[in-house]
Order: sequence, then structure tokens, then C-alpha cells
Amino acid sequence: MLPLVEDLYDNEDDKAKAMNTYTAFFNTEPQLGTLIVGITAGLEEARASGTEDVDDETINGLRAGLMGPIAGIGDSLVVGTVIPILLGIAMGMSTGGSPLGAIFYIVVWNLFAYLGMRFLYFKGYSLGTKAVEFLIGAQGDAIRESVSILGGMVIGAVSATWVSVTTSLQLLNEAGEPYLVLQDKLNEVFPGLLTAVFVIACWFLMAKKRMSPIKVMLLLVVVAFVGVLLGFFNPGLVY
Amino acid sequence: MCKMGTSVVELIKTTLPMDGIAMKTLFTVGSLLPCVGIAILLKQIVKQVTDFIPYLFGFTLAASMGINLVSATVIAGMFAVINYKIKMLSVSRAAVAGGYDDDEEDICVPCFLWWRTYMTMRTTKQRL
Repeated sequence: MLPLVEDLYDNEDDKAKAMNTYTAFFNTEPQLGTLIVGITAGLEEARASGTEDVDDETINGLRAGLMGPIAGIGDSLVVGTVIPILLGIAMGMSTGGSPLGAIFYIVVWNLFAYLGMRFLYFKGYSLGTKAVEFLIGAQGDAIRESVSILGGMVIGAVSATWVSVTTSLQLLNEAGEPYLVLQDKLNEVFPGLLTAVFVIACWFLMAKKRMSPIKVMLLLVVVAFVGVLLGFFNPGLVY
Repeated sequence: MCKMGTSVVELIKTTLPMDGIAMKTLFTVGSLLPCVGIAILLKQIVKQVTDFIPYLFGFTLAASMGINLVSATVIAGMFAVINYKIKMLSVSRAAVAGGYDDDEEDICVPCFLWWRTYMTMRTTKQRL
């Protein structure tokens, strides 16, 4: 907010007073969050020009009220939908070691983030407090729920497309021929069953057991080691 | 490093064979680690167990039906739109039941029917 405040006020005391407003706790999703910054920029301008009666509490109440809903929508929409799709396309391009995927992701993501943030900032600025009615209340709830359904489904598709956990466990009969290939049996039950099980197990450990991602990764190393020893996992690669 | 050349590579290949436990474990970990990444994403979205249904639906679309990522997103978008419409419908219903929107002109047909039934029931009750 500093450039804006510098621009709007001439007096140092007024600047200090205005900047003091923005020391309150504020934490939201960085891309969609620019909408809130746009709204507060409009309010700050109204306060500076004296056309509207805006006090610290109005601005901070608005920021505190909007940061939750915006973070909810942003996490599902940006982190849960846009990034996985872009990464999915980029990974498809990079299959076989091509650098094209990385370049594609860097360019498209930054363009998207820059243009999107710019658009949202000015949208928030021009909508002003009208955006609040849109985001808080029943309509905001409906948007949040719909977007989280979208995000959940996209993440599901991503994990089925790009994560593949398979087992090599098979039981041999006396003639040395496999009579039970576990992976085939699992695929008959639900294709990608092991992947889903591992993802949900990781989610359970992190969300319910409050383990840190690092600990879960170390646990997976142990699981992989034991699995290899037991013959459950075998990547089956050769030089 | 360049001085060592192929002999070192050969040495690595013999000491760390692909069918040895070390390399097998490393590659298995490589295939398991993305699960953590997906789980981190899921943590943002799934708050209760029923939230797994959209996830598993998307998973089934891709794994069992072989639909690719962008197509799955389009299907997911359609479901999101349907959910939004239903939610908004229930909101406008609640508003009608509360009697706030008496002067609302462009009322939707299901809401209107529901409202009429509700009013009829209420008047019948009063008569009884």
C-alpha cells in the first residue's frame, strides 16, 4: 500500500496514520488476494479525498472479512486447478527430456499471474464495496463450494494421470508361472487403486495426524525400502 | 571429473545395479513421492471425508475412463456450474420463504410453485 499512500497524502503525519491502518494481520491467497488490495485502494482514495466517510475499522474489517473467502476460492482455483493443469500440460511436453515444458510453464504461469493479478486489482478498485456483497454471504458460499468441487476433481484427474503406484507382487505356482498377479487383480477392482490409497494415506497423515510433509516423505522412503525387500515394489528397470 | 570417464560409470553400474535394493528403493520412492505432493494439494480442499467424493470422481474419470486432464477439467467445470446453480436456487428459495423478496419480479418457476404451495398450506392450516 506504500506507493498508493505516498501518492495520496502530502503530509507525513497523514501518511503515517494511513500506513498504520495496514499493519493489521492480513493473510490470503496471493493471486486472488490482489482483488482485496484493489478494493482497499479504492477505499483509501475515498478517504484521502474526503468524499466518503471511511475509517480504519471499515478497511480492516473488510480486509479481515475478505481474506478468508478469497483464500478459500484462491486455493481451490489457483493452487488446486490452474497450477495442476498447467503443470500437467508442461509435463506432457517435457516427456522424453525436452526443456519445452519448463519454459512453457514459466512463461504461461507468469503471464497468467501477472495479467490475472493486474485484472483483479483494477476490478477490485472499480467494483469497490460492491465486490464484498458478491463474495460474502450465500453467493460467496455457493462459489466457494463449487470451486472446491472443481479443484477436487481436477486434483483427482491429475493424480490418476501423473502418479502411478504399482505393485509387482505375484505368486508363482510350482511350474514357475504366476497364478496371481496382484496388480491385475487390483486393476479389476479399481484402476489406480494403489495410487489413490497412497494419496489418501498421505493426506490422512498430514491433515489428521498433523505430520509435516518431510516426515511423510521419510516414512515413504521406509515404506519403499520395506516394500522392495518384500518384493511388493519393483520398478523393473535395467541399464 | 572428466578424467575418470567411462570406467567410473562402469564402476557405478556394477556397484549399484538396477536390480539391487538401493536402486529399486530409490526408484520406488520416486514413484511414491508425488503422492505427498498431491496430498499437500488435497489438504487445501478436503476438510471432511465427504470432500473426497469429487477427488475420487476425478480420479475415476482419468484412471478408469482414460479422460485426459483438460477434458476432465471441462467435466469438472460443468459439475461446478450445476452445483452453483443449485446452491443459488436454494438461496432464492430461502429468501422467498423468509418473505424478504416480495417485490421480486423475475422469480424462478420452481421457487414460485414452492412458494404458492407453502402459502396454500398455510391458509389451509389457518382455516382448520
